[in-house]
Amino acid sequence: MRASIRISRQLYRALISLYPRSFRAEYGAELLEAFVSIGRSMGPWHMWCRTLPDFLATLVSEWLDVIRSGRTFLGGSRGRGRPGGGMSFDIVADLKYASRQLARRPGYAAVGIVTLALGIGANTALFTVVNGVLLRPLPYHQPGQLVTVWQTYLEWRDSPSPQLRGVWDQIPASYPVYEDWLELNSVFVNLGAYYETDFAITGGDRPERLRGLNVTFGTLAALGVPPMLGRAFRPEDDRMGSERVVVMSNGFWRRRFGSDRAIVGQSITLDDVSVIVVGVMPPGFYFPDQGIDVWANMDDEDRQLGRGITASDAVIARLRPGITLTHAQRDMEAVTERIAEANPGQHEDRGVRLVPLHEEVVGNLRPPMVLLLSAVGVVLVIACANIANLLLVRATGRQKELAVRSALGAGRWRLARQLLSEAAVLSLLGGAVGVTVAVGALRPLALLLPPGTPRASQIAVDQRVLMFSLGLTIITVLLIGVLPAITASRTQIVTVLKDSSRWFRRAGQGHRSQSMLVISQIAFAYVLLAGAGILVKSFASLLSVDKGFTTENVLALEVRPPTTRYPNDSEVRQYYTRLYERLEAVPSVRSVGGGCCLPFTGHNSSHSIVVESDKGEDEAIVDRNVVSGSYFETMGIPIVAGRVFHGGEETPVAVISSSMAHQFWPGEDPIGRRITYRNHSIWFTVVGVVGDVSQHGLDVLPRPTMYYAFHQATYRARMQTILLRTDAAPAARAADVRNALWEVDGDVPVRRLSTMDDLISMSVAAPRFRTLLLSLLATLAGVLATFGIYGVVAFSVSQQTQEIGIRMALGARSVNVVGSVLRRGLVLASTGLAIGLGITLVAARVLESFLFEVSPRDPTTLLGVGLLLTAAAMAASYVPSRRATSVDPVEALRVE
Amino acid sequence: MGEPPSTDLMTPAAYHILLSLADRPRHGYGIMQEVDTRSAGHVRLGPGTLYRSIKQLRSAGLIEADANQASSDANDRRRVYRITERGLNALTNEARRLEQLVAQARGKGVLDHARPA
Repeated sequence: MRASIRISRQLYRALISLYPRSFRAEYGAELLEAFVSIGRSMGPWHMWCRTLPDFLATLVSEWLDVIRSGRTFLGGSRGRGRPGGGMSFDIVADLKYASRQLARRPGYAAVGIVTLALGIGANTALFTVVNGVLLRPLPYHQPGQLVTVWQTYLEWRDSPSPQLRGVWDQIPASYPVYEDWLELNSVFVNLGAYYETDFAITGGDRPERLRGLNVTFGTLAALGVPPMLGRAFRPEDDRMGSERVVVMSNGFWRRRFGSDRAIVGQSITLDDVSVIVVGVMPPGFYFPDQGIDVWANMDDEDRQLGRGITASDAVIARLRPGITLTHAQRDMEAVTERIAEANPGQHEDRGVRLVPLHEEVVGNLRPPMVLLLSAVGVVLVIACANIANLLLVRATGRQKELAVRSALGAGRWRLARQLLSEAAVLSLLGGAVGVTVAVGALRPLALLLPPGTPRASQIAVDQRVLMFSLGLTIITVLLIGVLPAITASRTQIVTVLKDSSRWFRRAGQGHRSQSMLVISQIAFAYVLLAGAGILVKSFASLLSVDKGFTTENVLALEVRPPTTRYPNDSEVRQYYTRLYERLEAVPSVRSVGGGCCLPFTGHNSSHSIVVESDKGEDEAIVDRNVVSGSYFETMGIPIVAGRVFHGGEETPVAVISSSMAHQFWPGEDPIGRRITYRNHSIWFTVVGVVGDVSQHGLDVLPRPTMYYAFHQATYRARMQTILLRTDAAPAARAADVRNALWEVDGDVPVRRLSTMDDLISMSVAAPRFRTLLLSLLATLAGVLATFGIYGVVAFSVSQQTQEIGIRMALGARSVNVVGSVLRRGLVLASTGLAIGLGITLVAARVLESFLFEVSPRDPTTLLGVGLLLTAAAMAASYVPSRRATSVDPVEALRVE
Repeated sequence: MGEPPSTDLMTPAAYHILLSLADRPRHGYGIMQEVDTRSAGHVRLGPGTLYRSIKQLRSAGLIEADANQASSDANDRRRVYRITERGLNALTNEARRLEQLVAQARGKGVLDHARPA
């Protein structure tokens, strides 16, 4: 914190120096004081947020004042050469002069503008994404007042099950708990409960499965967005026996009902129940995420659920004006205690936790976004170093001109300002081009984002983005302009003017600055490339994980026969039997199976079981899957021992995974052993063992799993994910499959039809996104750094043309000349690499949470990247060294 | 700069600065803090706006920098600003003007509507 304020202070001091002299002299010290005080009380982030736009606005107005009054113009003629004196008209003249200078050397200007455009453009594009996804306020009324309310359960925090440990402090509420909160709290304006569900809409041409949200009155009321048509929910919609009503999303209304305004007040059929449409939300409204089609009031069944800890109602609330989060948290803790007192034995160890809604939505996106934003910032710094180098070279090349002007009376500041103006023209043009390119790149960039990224549609250039780019451009001016300006202002008139022996001079001030720049470029490029290399390696090892099943030519879709048409278990089973028979008859379908919990979809079911062992009975929590048809064959899960279900079993049987066999019966034969549910009298006999499956994602170890046969499921299983293995490309069969399904029952909708390969690909979309983007940025950094080395070495060779010519004339061999040039490149590169390695080793911790089975200090990657950059540095030095040896000594000496 | 600035030239920032100096002299950051707390964070002056306004208010003679009130620490560079008689008049005029505007709004029943939730 301290260090960041110190750095910010220095930066702001530099910015203050851009104000007109009169203002700066009168208020500069106080501005700095105020700035630091803000930082101390609010942190560096707020310090800059509050200061940067304010700085830019007042900078412009102060200069306008100066120009209007013409005061310093007169002052300028008095105080020639005094830093900061008489600037307004001079600045315009400087900028014009700089533009003319640049126009005269279009190649040089183009390199500068393109490089800076790359740097500023990449930063702008990425910041636009971060702004849209992370920073922009949620699209609700006063979104800062919105919080989510979770239950916590201490017993789960220390549970052996990682699943329970993972959710101990974000447990949904049950309906009675929600009602208690609603009644007892004194800190919320609105409190609403909701849970996601899906509906089948029937009665049109085709049934369709919808994403729905069952909500109480308070949910939409808390969000404070009025419907576009009709009404939102009312308190009476929450009463027992109230009729079912729905509010539609704008997208669904347009898609299904062709924007028919008369739909409000009419009834539609959801899950075979008639419900009344009461409202349509405005375009762009979403909650809790994009893709919800309808919001419905809860039904009586929802309201009658008990107080169990496994509840499903998420709760959202709006804080009363003036109530802080801490205050609300304390109030709700008191409420929780009162609930526990009123319900002895039922609410012990339960707590409550309030989380700002914004945090809930975007919280876990912050680390990868910050990582990428830092990386792209480093790219800009490297780009700036390149241009700073170019300007330094220019300054050195213009030493004579500058010395002459100095001799004619131009002050140091005057000379420095001229180089700063050149930096400013380059940065402004680079910034303008960069922002334009960034705007164009937004769409492709948004497509790269992992599917399901919240608020991806919010990504757009807004005022904050433009302010950011403008700030970046100003920083760029300073980064690229200050060093050359200082160098130029130090020009020693006498030395330069009488210097006929320039070519014997060794590296002076300019060369030292150049070397420093190149070394830091290489160091930064190394850090980025090493980070990218490690992420790539991690991603590769993620993809090479043995999933435990084969994904080629497998099609998956979800089906749930509605309760109204298939009220009991035997009817559901009959439906699936008929469906499988029909699907197997589809051309090129080889096998069909179904399971409750498809890998990689986030669906998951686990429960406690008791197993029979030699020591007596063991209790444990395992994953559970209920399968039907030829599930194992279709998924390509190998049978390790025994057999799988054949569908005709009478006595209860189970198939278990290898890891479960290993956990409970290590070194023994599990076939014939028995398992039961906790508190259950039915015993299942193990008939087979199958291979382990990565159910929860490639980066999660397979957990012990128990499979039941669908026809023996002891609870009402209804939804199955159907899997089909086909001979040909599965996507081509999708239409046939859908039609076959509707032949069996035209009112059962299909949901999430996709190939297994797509499901896997989606599950690794997030690591793929950050790996790809970081690799792109690192490559850019590497290329820029290589050009940096080339520029410096080439320049130092050109400065030593005469020296080299004499050495050649005296008999030096070209090998020696090449060697000495390469040595210079190597020294620069290895110094940069050493520093980069140091930074990488220290900063490696940052990457840890993104990695899978790779150390953030992976030696092979660190070494490989080092070699790669060394090779690039050698190549960059070799080109100018060849040029050096082709120098004709006579020509070289004639240059003077 | 003979006449006090007519009130329609008074920017919100200038008004807030004068208001914060009405009860006692303050240094620059003190003004920022006072405006922050009084407006419950709704008005946030940046350093640039603050000192630009101070510059304008000083040249209009509405406030003055006070060297005597500086802290005992000789290194403390912060000046203290105090409102002048003229500044107080301008502030009063502006406040009266705002009061009239509110009264007119009330007369039209604008303030009777409940706030949206």
